[in-house]
Parts: sequence; C-alpha cells; structure tokens
Amino acid sequence: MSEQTIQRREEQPSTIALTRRVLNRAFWRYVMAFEISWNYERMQALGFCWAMIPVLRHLNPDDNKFAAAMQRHLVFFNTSKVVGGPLILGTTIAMEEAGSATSADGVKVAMMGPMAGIGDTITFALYNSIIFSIGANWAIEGKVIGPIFTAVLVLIPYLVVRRWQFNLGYKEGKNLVTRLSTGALTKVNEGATILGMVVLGGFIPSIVKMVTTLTYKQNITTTTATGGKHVVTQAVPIQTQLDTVLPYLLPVAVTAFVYWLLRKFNLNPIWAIVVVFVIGLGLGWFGWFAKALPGATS
Amino acid sequence: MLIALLLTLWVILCTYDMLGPLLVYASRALIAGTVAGLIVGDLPLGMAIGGTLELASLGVYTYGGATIPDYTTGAIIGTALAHASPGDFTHQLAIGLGLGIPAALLLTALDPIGRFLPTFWIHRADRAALEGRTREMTVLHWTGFIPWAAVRAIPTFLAAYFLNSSAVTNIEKAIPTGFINGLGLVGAILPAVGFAMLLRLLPVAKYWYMLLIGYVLYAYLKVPMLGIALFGVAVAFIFVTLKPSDPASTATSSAPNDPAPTSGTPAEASDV
Repeated sequence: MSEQTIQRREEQPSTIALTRRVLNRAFWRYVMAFEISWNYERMQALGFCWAMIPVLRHLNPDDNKFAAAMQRHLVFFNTSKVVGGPLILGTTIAMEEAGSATSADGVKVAMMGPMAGIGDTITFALYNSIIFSIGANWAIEGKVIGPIFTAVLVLIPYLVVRRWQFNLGYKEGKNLVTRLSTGALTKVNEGATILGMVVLGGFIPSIVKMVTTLTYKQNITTTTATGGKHVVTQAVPIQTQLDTVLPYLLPVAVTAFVYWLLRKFNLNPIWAIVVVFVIGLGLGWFGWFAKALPGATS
Repeated sequence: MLIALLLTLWVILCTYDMLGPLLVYASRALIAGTVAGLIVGDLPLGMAIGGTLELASLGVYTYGGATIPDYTTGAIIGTALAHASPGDFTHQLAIGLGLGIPAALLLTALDPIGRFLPTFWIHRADRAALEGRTREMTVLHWTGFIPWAAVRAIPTFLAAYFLNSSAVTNIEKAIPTGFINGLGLVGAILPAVGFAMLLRLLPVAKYWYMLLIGYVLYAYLKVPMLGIALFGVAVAFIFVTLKPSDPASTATSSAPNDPAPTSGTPAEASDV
C-alpha cells in the first residue's frame, strides 16, 4: 500500500510538499468562514474552494494550473460542518498534494453524503440536544452557569474535533478513503444511529410536556363501618387514568402525530410547527390540556 | 437607539457564528437570548426566554439547508420587547414568548432570500477562478454573507427601534389570557417537531425497538438523560460488535486483522 503511494508520487515530478503553515491556513479558513457564502445552487462550494486556495496556490506555481484547480473545487458541495467537513478537507488536501486531481474530486463526492448523515446525527441530534437541553433548563431556573456550560461545551469540543479530523484526514489520506469505503463508515453510522434512537426514546417523554386537566365524574359506592352503603360522586382526573395505561402517553402521541404528518404529507418542518402551534394554542386556550398539572413539581 | 444597534450587531454576530466558526453556537436561542438579555440589562429575562425557545427548538436544525423557524431573531426580538413591557417577570416572560415565537415563524419567510441571493456571487466566483483572481474570490466569499445578515439584521433593528414600551403595552392589552396559557402548552409540545424531524432522518422501521429502550429507561426506571446516553453508547458498541456481517461486507470486516491481498487492494487499485 505505502509502496504504491510512494510510487505514484514519484510519477508526479512536479509535486511540491505542503508546509505546516499552508495546512494551518486552510484549516483556519475552513473554521472561520466555511458557510458564509452558502447558497441554494452550490451550497458550501465557495467555502470549500476558499479554504483550499492556500493549498492550491502552493501546489500549483503555474497560474493556469492554479486557475483550473480553483474551478475544480467550485463544484457543488454540502456536508456536515463539525463532524465530516474537516475530515473531507484534510483528505482532499492529501490527494491534491499527491498530485491526483481525480481522486481529490472523487473523495469529496464519495464522502460528503455519508458524512452529512453521520455528522448531523452526532453533532445535532445527539450532542447538541443533550448539552443544550441541560443548559436551557438551568437558564430557565435563572442559573447563569446554564448558558456558560453550553457555550464552553461547544467552544472546546467543536474545535478539538475539527482539528483532529483535519489532521487525521490529511495524514491517512488514501488509506482512510479505502478503509471508510470498506465498511468502517457503515459501522460508525450504524452505531451513531442506534445511540441517537436510544437517546431520542428518552428525550420524547422527558422534554415534550403535555397533560390533560379534564376530569370525569364517577359514582363510588363505599361500605361504611356500620354496614350501610354510601354513594359518593367523585371527580376523577383523566390524566391519572392515562398514566396507568402508559406513562407519558400524551407526549408520545403528539410526537407520533407530528412524525406521521411529516411522513404522510411530506410536510415542510415549518408547516409542522405551524400546525403544532395552532393545535397547542387551541387546546391550551380552552384549558383542557396544559404543560403540567397544577401543583405538579416537574 | 444604542440598544437597538447593539441588538442588531448581536444578531449579525450570531448569524456569522452559525455559518462560520461555531465558537459558541450563538445562533441557538439559548445563547442569542442570554446575550440579548445582557444588552437590554435584564440577564434573567434573556436567559428564561432563550432557554424556553431553546427547549422548543431542540433537534430543529437546517438539515441539508432547509429553512427552519428563525429562533435566533425570535429570541433577540422577544427579549427586547419583553424588557420594554412594564409588567413583572412572569408577565414579561409570557410577552417575550408571545412575540418571540410568532416572530421566529414569520421571519422564516425571509430566510430563503438570504439563501438565494449568494447564488449570484457564485457565478462571479466562477469567472474569478477562471482568471485566477484570488483576491476577488476572498471578497466574494465574505460579501456572500451580506444577504444572510441583512434578512436578520433589518427586522431586528426595526423591531427594537420602533416598538417602544407604549406600543408593547398596547400589544399586551390586546393579548387575551387564554392566548398566554395556550402559548405555554405550545412551548412545551414544540420539541415534538424537532424529535419528529430527527426520527425522519433515522431508520425507524429498522431500529424502532431502540426508541423503546430509551423510553423505558426514562418513563419506568427514571434514569436521568445522561445515564440514558451512556447506556445508548454501550448498546451501540455491543450491537455493532456482535452484529453478524452482511454477506456484502464479510470481506471488509475481516480487513483490519487480515492484511491478505483479497480484502482491500482491488478497490484501492482501481481508484486512482
């Protein structure tokens, strides 16, 4: 494997080695401005190209080759920004350094799709949902540590994870692509998916909050100490009955309903939010349903 | 005026952080609202509004570039207007949510404009790349941010500058109590949308029972969220390790321990 790579590099006599400084410039360009010119047509294309420019300039002293390289990197690109993007950038740089434009372009296309799925699940669905829900709960209680906790847990891990992937992608280069394309990526994806679903299963009852305040009247016959029968009419809260059927039935039902809406009508999330907004407003307005039962602690 | 300008600057910084460095994920309602609270001089109010909107938008992210409600601007405008309202804290919080959530929904109409306009920039970038003008590439890339910032900065400034306390008081008088109660419920069930969006991304038909594990841990066993996440890590590792390989991937799963030429080499050789 390594023999092969060396051999290939020797086939490219014009290849110039990249310096640490050039690599750092590409990385920081990626961090500071990856998506600022995001657009519908080519999404992150210009951001990727702009991050690659120091590398491309260094590797292509010839102006015509340099211009052609920039154009190659202006094609459509879109992936997950924290987990995924830096890995692809590092790998692409390694390919460019090896003088193989075709594999650099191929790597981007091959990796952006799978990494987008994995990256979004890990970064947003898992990590962010956990740290932001903890921070938000503290903030609501008036604890300043809430937003600070969340901000610090974004600041440091996000930077570390991006740098690590960038280095890994650059160092492993071709090996990485081979390894990822042969099943390791599938395993990572499967693991992340499973973790995501377990966490989501806990999130639905713990974060979505809805109870009914409705009651129904029930006649209860009690036997007094003297043996006489005594009929009492009692208001029974429906929520207590629901809890014996299935705890957190309403939050689960609401989530299932929205999921069904999204699937069945292929609904845009905005419209799902509008539907939930209108239904929630109506049910809460009439006082049949509420966030929590009056006097409840959670 | 100064506060309106500071809030406008803050919404621009939030947008930049979202698209660029993600230093503190300032575009999330929790961070956006907290700093807006600092700017207007009422930190607890900003934290409460930001925190509530954050819970309402958990899991709501722009997957693949889809437009989502603009909770960033919603939290900032909500905090500014709530602070302008004369009532007590609970009252101000209700006002902040009552105006912040609708603002977040209304502003989704502007987001596509911010996402569409830089399309013109990329065609100019094509020409700049063709002629090898790197300086112009840099300028184009950074000015591509202007439409993104403008669609958030302009409404924030208008709301913060023109809606004074008497206007907010008038809006407030027009809001019935039922609306406030209803909004409380809306905030509590909105996370369902984020979770449903996540579920659409996940293979529910294949792994529905994984949802059950998390549900049972919380609903019956009262395990805290972090505990559920750790349990999830263990389940994921067990599952991936023990899962028998599919026929298609048998050759590859043996690759790490077995450097035999049959495993990785053909794919690699055909690649370059």
